[in-house]
Amino acid sequence: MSFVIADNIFQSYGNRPILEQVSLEVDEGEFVSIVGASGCGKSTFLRLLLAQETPTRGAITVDGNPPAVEPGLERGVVFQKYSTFPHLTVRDNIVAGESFRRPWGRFFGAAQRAARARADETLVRIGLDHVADQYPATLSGGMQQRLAIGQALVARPRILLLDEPFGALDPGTRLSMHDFLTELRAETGMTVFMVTHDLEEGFKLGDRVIVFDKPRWDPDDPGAFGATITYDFDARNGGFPYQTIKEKTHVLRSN
Amino acid sequence: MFSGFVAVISMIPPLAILPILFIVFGLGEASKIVLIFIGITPVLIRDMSQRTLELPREMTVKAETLGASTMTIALRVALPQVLPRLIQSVRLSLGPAWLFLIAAEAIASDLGLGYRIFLVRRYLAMDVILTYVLWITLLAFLIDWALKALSRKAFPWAEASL
Repeated sequence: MSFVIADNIFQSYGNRPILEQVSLEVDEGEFVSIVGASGCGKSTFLRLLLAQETPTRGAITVDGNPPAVEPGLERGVVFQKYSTFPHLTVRDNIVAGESFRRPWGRFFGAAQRAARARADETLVRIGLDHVADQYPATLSGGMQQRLAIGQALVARPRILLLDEPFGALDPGTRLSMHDFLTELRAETGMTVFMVTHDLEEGFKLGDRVIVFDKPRWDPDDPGAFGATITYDFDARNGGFPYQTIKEKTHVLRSN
Repeated sequence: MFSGFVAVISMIPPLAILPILFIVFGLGEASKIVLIFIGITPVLIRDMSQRTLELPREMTVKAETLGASTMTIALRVALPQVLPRLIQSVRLSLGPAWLFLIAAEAIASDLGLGYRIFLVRRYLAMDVILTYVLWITLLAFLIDWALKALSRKAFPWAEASL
């Protein structure tokens, strides 16, 4: 059975359908890029995955659990903006990833010191240890997004949702963030959904690229029909399918 | 519902209920403090609730995905972020606060700067009045400056984002 299952999702706001007949099965550890034109419901789909909204019809299950009604520890999220807490230092932002689930939202005494030490290790790993005592507002855009991803990951979510995480970054920073994300993913083996406008980015990072579009279009009433998944590409091996040998065999190997 | 209640309460002109305060709390200091409290608090409450609503939705969602309860979001995410704004609006409310104080002292008091201004009014003692006005301005400025310093000290991150 698949890890994340979206079963015949419909979502409409009032009379306006946004998504219709969206079905998707994703295995654990897959990286799914979601692309599509603006207003085609990809962000809506991400909000549904996040359980920030519940679908009008159908349900999304993660690991066979009952559908969530609000965002929880199972899901981690990074938005394009506002993903870090401006009133906490960089170190405390990382600590928050562990401490917000506690009764008062914080650690005390020895647990606090231990959490700070762990946060420092995380900061070294994501390359932000030199700004541990600064506030997020003083960091560059790329560093803020690295912090946001690190913060989401220390909470150990089952699935990570990225909503155009690199949309506001310059091309150079964006490339280094790709490497950063690829590394983290190799380490954690996490299931990732990423909404992006950049097709190249989607194919580079994703194992699968799914495209949202409207299959039916009424020229007199553009809002009459919702969008659905129109393409589902296998993006591994640079987008060329059937490159991996599934059987354990020595045939076709050079040595 | 509570915001509707506060919205109605904040429309009551504080000076109009000053006589009631004098009847209930007597002519002493208590009625003046209560007048300032009644005059300022609804404005502060409305400002705070508005600022809390203006916090980005993403931040709440992010906190929820980190496992935060409603209580934790209120205490660890929303409250710390509106506190510097609270100080800011207290600073802006200093003017009305002084207005209420001097108005109350002008009507019923036997000491205080506002009382003395209205006492010497009958002698047309402009030199004394101006001196008192200067004193009040200085005091108000010092309070404002102290609040600003407090805000800087207590919420350095708010300065960083400006």
